[in-house]
Amino acid sequence: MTRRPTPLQATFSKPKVTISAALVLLAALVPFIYPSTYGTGVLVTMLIFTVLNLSWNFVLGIAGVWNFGQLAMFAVGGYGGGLLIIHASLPPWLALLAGGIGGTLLAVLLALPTLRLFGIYTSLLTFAAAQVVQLVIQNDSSGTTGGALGLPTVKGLFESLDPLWATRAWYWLVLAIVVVVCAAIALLARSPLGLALRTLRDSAAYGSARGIDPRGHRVLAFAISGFVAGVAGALYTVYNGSISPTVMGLTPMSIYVTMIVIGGLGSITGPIVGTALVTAIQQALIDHPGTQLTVLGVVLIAIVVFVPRGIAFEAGRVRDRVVRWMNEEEEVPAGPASPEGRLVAGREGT
Amino acid sequence: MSDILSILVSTVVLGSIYGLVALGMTLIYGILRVLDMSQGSMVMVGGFVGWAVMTSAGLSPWLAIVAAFAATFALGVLTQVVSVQPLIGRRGTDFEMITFITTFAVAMVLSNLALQFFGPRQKNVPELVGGSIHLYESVSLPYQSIVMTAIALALMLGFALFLNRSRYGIAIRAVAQDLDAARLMGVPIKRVFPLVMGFASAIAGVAGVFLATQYFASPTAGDQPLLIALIVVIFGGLGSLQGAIVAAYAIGLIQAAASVYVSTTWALPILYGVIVLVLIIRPQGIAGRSLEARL
Amino acid sequence: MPADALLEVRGVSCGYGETTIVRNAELTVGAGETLCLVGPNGHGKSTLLRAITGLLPLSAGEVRFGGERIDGRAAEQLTELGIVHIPQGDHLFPDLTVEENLLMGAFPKGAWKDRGTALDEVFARFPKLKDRRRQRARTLSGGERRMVAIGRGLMRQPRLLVIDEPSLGLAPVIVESVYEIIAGVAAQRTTSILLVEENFTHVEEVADRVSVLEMGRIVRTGLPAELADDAAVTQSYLGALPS
Repeated sequence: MTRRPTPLQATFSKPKVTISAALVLLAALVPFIYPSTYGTGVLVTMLIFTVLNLSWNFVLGIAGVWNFGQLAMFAVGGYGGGLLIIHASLPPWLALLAGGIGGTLLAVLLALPTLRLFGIYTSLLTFAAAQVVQLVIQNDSSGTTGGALGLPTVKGLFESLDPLWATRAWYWLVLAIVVVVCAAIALLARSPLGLALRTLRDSAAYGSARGIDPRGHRVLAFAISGFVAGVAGALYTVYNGSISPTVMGLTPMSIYVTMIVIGGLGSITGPIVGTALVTAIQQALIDHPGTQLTVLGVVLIAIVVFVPRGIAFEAGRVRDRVVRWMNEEEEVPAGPASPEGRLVAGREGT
Repeated sequence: MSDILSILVSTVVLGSIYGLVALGMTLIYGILRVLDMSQGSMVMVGGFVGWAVMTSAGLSPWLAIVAAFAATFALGVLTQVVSVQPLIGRRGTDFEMITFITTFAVAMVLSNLALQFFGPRQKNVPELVGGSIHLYESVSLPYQSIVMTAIALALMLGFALFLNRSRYGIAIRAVAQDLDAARLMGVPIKRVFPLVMGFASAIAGVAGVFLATQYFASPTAGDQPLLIALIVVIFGGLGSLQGAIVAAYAIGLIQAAASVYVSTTWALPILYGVIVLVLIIRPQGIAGRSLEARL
Repeated sequence: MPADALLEVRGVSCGYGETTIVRNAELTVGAGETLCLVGPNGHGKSTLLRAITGLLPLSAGEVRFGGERIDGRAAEQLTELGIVHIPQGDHLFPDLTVEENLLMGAFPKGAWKDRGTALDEVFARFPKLKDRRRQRARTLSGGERRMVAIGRGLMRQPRLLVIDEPSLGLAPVIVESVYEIIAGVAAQRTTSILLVEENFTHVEEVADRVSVLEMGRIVRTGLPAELADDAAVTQSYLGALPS
């Protein structure tokens, strides 16, 4: 959990890094506070989805490309990693990497046809492409993907440990990946690449006029995001020991989009907050599975209408006060946070 | 010969149903710049209303159509007021993307409410009318298909007349083209927007009754029509009404042909493949006008 | 100042977002009177019009129409009172036909009944438009578009016609004919006109009074002849000195 981003003059100030480190440490201790295999397992799944959502938010929120086909990269990473473990006896560690590469390849392939498209057409094309991937996996009759039943018996990690410790090890592994991905995205968002992407997002015509190549940057954003999504997919397969086409489709997509938007589209820590919050809601309603999506849908609309910048942004304001306090500055009355202090997908007056 | 004939029969039936759903979507997009993802749920709700009126209450199918129209009209108005109206004119958000998400959330809520109330099981809905005309060898044309196609065409025609001739119809098209100027003419946009979404949803609701009589009513009955309507509106060029109707029959034809010559399971992937190709070759769809880059 | 004021603008300030463009504007248009608002480009003329006709909220002041306060009401409500705004740059509906564009001018319920006669009257004023009635507005020339815009404004009997730069971007000969039409409407004395121009040249032909807007403030109001005689005003705001 790092920081609320400010676009240009962003610095990784000491207090902010300290707070982030403290939060990560706290997160690492959670398995001891909550010593059950089931509970820890829920957290592992949550963290895997966090990785996916971080990757999706990078392209959707930060680069502003309306990609609604991210689950295709997730699935290709998952299936690719799984198949390599089964057929090429690839060690699971390498399968994660292979999943990432698979995700990258598909992402680049998907980015190319979207280059000429604007806005909503991009979302339709990516969404349609993801549907093709799902239907191909599901309808495959050659037995490669296992069709609708899924791809079972993939050798997992940490098999020598007892179930509780294995789950804990998984937790720490995925937590480490979340931290690395989040830090990488935070750095990327402030790099020249990130600046170029945000410029293109806010005004593609202006960006092009200033010599930013929209195509190259878009492909690059897709590739980076696809790699992370592929890794998340492979993590999912290796952790669960199976993957099925149900990881894709309208329902999962609506859940992930809810997570990202609730957390704050375009905010770097948004996906972490959003994924945690939605998981908490799902767990709270675990005895009433039928109401989960209804509640999530209502929450999603309410957040969009009433908290348009997402929870992470509002949390960031609280965090900023702590930072000011740590800096031993005078407590300034918390005025409205400056509108520049965010990375939200913001095109005015489309 | 019998292959071709049966393809044609399915094309007309499928095309008419898709045309209804796509008509609503393209109308909403053309006027509100909202890609309304709740349209699939309106189809689903229409199906359940049809089931409730015909099967549960045992009333006339015509009443079912009217009831579905009314129910989904109200639901469409509600959707607009809750998930679209508050976002109009909001600074710093991408309106098209954010309403894509909020209408999606509405769809989530509706289909899960349906799941809770009606359960996951598919409900059979009787045909509107029984009987059929024998055409050739094994191919026959059910009266049901004729009635559905006739109603669909009548609705599309009625809509076209409404948009081209009536005071509010012209105003609706005017709003789509220049919002400020329409306000200066006195068009009450706050009333027009919910009305548009209500009408579009009501048409989808009627399509839902048709689909339910062809197949069944179920909480997920709206998913595939939504996906197909998306394909149709891309194919036709978003916001172009004629484009949408032509595309609906073209998509119906592709799907019918793919089902006969390849297989039913591969019909949908083939459709998506076609649409990906269309977007690569003609990014603005078959009839769409190209978008201008704005500084 | 006319005794029976139709439109009264009192201390109006308005702008976009944080930026205030018009400050403390005061003006009055009498019944049947034609007031021209002149001033350099970018000094807030159109902004003031948008505020008067309800497209833009006021940040201060009030607007009265026929004695009734109308600020804070939406543009679409004001048209019901008989205020017609012909915006700068025409704002036609590009994919509606000429006839449909004109019909939109008669959208309010009262006017819709008489749309047939109104249409005939507009076609009588602009015979050229009759030939083009089935053509889409986007295919028209600049002059024809202006005619449609003005014709659309005349599709019902406006009590107040607000016209924003009717000469903008037109060839001089077409500007002449546009002003003839406006002068014709003004001469009937049934419609009040609030007209905005950057250029003083044609204003004299139609205006009863002229106000000068500079840097968001109305700095002078008077008869056209007085202002034309005022060399300083003429030079600073209205272009070259008369020779």
